[in-house]
Amino acid sequence: MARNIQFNDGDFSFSAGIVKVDRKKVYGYSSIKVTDKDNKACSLVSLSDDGSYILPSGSTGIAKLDSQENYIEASGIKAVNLEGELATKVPSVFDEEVKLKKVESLTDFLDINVKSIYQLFFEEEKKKSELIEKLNNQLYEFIFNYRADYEGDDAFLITDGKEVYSIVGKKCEFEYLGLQEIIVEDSEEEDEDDDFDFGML
Amino acid sequence: MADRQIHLSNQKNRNALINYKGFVPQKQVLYVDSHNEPTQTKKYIKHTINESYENLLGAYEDDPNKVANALVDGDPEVNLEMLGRYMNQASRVYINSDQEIVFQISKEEFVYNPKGEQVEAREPRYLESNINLEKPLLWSGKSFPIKDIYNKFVLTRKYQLMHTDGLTFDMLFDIAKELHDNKSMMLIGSGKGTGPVIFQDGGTPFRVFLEGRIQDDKYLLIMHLSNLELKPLPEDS
Repeated sequence: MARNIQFNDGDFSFSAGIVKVDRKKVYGYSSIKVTDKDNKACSLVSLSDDGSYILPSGSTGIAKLDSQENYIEASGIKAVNLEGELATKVPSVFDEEVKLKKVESLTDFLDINVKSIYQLFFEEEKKKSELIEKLNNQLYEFIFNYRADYEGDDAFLITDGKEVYSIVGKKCEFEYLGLQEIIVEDSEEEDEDDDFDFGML
Repeated sequence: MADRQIHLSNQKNRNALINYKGFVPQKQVLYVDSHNEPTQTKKYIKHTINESYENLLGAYEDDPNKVANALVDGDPEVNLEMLGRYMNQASRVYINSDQEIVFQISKEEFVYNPKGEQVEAREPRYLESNINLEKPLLWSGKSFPIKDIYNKFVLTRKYQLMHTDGLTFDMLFDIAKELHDNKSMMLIGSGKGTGPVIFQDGGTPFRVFLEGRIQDDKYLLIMHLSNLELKPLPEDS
């Protein structure tokens, strides 16, 4: 059973579990099978730099090095903020009550690059209905961390009228452009489809 | 992300090459060593395929107990020549079940429904980018009020459109103003304007909704990318 999160906006509190929503669960998925000429299943592996050894999945690790490229233990590493001060951990949403904040403008929500989506599951249907009622008129935001970490994500509670979801991501810092801000060109690089079907994407 | 270009048509079917960019959030936390110097990470080798559990099992008559005893008595899982060696640029190759490098492969794609049942087997499809073709992405004419769309689709990724000269400024400003005034987003896309948009070769197809904002004589035009409707998980998921 998933752990619940305790939410509180000051005058309304509720508890809910979360389950991740992704395309695989909604539309299905595909996988590619690779075989050799004798129809034997193949897998993708790495070769060592000199090409003499095969390195299957799980055969490499990530080492932490200091500025002189000497190996250091995790205990010898500090997390600091941009001012150089020791960073404090943002707790997991499961460990402390989550404080909800009213979203002032819908654009705050529209500005996030979405990382993950969770559907909320309630033990009390009444709380769910009350929350949906509130979310029809007002969005809420909070800081989301699945596990305690130094940086939390921006998260929003929204409803489609039937269920409640948490949309998690990072806000983009957009800049309005005037005529004077000419953007210098960088280098770069059909479907006759009338259907509006997300399943085929 | 570096600026890239998209071939876009407006509501009057006038088209232009437009720059766009994505956003990478700036890290708010850095990791430093005891001298307050930034740390780094590097990939290293733990073992090769010869010391993998499957190979050790084969070497000890497929008996896990014999493997366990061998691990206690010695270090058959350690390759002293390779253990701890840093990796730089590793080549990726396919091997077959006999652990031989394969030079000729066949690929088949299997499609499954949300219940995990196979519904199709097909040639793998490789989608080519369609944002900068001779035919521009079209303004579909399908408009969605923002108050209705934000909880219908998951607007996953954002790209900002940017002018490169006075003409493209006028074009983008007009689009942004119309969308801003109508408080709506416009679906743009391939085909007749409703088709999927693929930003890079081999990439994911997205629906693209244009949103415009105006502040005095400045504009903000955002492409919201979506490949997911906001809808409840199936009961048995």
